[in-house]
Amino acid sequence: MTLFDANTLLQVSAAFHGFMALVWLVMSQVFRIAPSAALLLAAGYFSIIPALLCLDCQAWWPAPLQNWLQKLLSLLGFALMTLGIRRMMRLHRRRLDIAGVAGMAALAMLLSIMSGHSAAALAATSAGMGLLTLLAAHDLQTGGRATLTVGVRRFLILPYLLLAAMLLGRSLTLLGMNEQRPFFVEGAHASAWLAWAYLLLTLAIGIGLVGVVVTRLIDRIRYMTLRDPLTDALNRRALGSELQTLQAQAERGQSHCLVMLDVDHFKRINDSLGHAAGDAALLHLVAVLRANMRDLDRLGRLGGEEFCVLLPHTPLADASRVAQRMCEALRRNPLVWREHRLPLSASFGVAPCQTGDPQGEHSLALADWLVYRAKAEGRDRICVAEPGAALGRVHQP
Amino acid sequence: MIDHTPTNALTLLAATVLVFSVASVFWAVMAQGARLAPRASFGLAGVNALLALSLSLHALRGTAPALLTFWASDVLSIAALAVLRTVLPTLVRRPMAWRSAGAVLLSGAALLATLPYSGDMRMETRAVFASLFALSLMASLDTWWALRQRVSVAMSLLLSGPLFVISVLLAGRLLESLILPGNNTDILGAGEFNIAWLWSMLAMNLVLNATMAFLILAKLIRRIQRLTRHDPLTDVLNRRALSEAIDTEHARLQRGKPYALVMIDMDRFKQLNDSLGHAAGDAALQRLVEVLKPCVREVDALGRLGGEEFCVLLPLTDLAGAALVAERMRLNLEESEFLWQGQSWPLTASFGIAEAEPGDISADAVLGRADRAMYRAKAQGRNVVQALDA
Repeated sequence: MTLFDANTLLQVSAAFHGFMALVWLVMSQVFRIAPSAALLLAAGYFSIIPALLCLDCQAWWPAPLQNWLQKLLSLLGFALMTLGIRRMMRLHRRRLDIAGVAGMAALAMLLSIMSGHSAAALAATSAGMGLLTLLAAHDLQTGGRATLTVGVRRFLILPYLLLAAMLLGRSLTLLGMNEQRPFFVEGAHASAWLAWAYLLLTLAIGIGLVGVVVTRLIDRIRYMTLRDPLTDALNRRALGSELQTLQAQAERGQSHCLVMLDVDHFKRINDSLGHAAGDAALLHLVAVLRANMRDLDRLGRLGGEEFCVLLPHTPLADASRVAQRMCEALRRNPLVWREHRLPLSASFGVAPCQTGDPQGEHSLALADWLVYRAKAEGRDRICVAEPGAALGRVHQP
Repeated sequence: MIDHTPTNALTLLAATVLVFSVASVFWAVMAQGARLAPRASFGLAGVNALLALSLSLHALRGTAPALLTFWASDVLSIAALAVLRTVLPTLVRRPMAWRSAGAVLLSGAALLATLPYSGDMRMETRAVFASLFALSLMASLDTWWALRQRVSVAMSLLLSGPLFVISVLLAGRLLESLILPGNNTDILGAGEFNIAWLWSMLAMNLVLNATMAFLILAKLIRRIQRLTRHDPLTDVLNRRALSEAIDTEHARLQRGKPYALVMIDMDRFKQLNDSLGHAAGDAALQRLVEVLKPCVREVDALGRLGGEEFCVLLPLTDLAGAALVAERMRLNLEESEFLWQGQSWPLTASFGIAEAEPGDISADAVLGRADRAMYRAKAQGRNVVQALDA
């Protein structure tokens, strides 16, 4: 261990912690990205610095604080970072586990110091930090399920597991060994290789967290370019590409259907009560439609008051039942808007995905024509395509 | 450092190489996996890798061939900043600035090749740091100008400031070799100066990487802000953003600031969609906006209310002024050409104008009048401007 010096490596780790604290401060205060989570992370990084920066400068603290202040700060730092990660992954679990682990470790550490067992104190601190790291890894695993692929998650979590193993290993070694044996990352016997490992893991964890934030922003952009901002339904372009996928499957004999619908007398609502009422009506409509959809189904807004629901793997008869259910649900649930009771209805056209139509234009045109027929027959009803013919039959309400 | 534990130069150098390498991997993953500003990200992966390589070679002085550990190490560090200078403009959608970067790199490398690399190596130090300073200054100025056109002064300073600080540090090193000769250029020397320089290199690199990450984040955030306020198809304001603008303007009506609205509805849009397809409809809307945009001033707001319906907010304008604007739009549109797959389609629109009146309780009243005026224009045979009679 003459080639590399552990203290220098810990100093570099400390510098990196300070740097990451500043980065998260800028994230929270300038960019307003996950502000509270970023602030927790910044505070966590700051708290850990004293324990890394100088191992020998405990003597600088006032005498009563010498033994325990740095250990307490490290525990606090790990707890804050774990909280920050939980916040960032939008997990609204109770924070009792983090507070419990940190508090118990701190208590054990203080009791050991008071009874004069400094090795046990360090062991308690390490065990606490190791458990907190495991909690953070768990939060990353569950919170990242929606946005990150399995491979990325494993890659992200690996450094947490290694760090936890390292810290818990130190704790066990300290407890198993006799008094006053300063183990790695502490004191003159510090092992350079473990300091290298600590630096590398810290770098991986710190940079990985920045990566998580960046991918989240990219996901948000991707989501926004596919959605209608008012109703959160797919926009026309996104619905079009979903439909193309279904059309390609229809070529291979799958039966998919689409339900097109147009709100009846929508202009009247807009003109008499204003655009805010119109918006409320569309939101109400989307909520009612969604209540009658499966997870697989896709809802899109084609523009104005015109919507389309894609029903994959659904025969025409089932699709018309779904449309009928939606039509009745709308009729049953009038919109209540600022004490106005507004009956809302729509005209539906139900068509199967046709073969020989890769862009889905013919399927859409057929459904559109069926909506038009439903409107002509008196609105508030569904019109279903006749199998084999371009004519539909109207269901009386 | 405030520490009394001595810093080991070799360890510090090795740790710095580790930090650079991890940063390089990070950028490569961002470029490859997330397709995040791929050219800039790949460039930064290169910058970090080149710096790591340059430092590693430097560390081998005395054990490896001198050409590698002296000349190649110095040229690699210049190459790193040359790559940085090259890829920075891509963050603001400009072509890569490889000419100036390449010129500095080649001249620096050529100059260093003629120098002896013996004695106190002051000339070599000057050549290296002059090249580094030139590249870093170009990168800083580029960033500053690009940011100034997009974000506030404070934000531009915050994001380009660190790059200027790095330039100043590099210039300082150049000046130091002129004024205070004698500091050993071998960063492995245990002198305090070299330790401090190693620390500042680590800090500079961290700051550089953070600044680049922030630049990319700022770009992403601006994109999100744009998406929440603009219609993705035509890039004019969406209905929510336009309504907000109109409401703000309506609030100023009480203080005697009039405003007018122009409601625009494209004629025969449904027929266009039905006969030429939705893609043609989209293209026609984009063409419409392209023609209308030159007719609105900087203070006006053009927005899409939905479908083929647009609206223009004209602050400090009365009905006569709105009529002028609308008539110019109508004429421009009538004279414009719209071709779809070789097929020509006449683009026209019906316009309804309305002026805010002191009696209007809300902006919806004005919108309603403009809307009714637009319907009157439709009823009169389309392609006309109409107002409601007072």
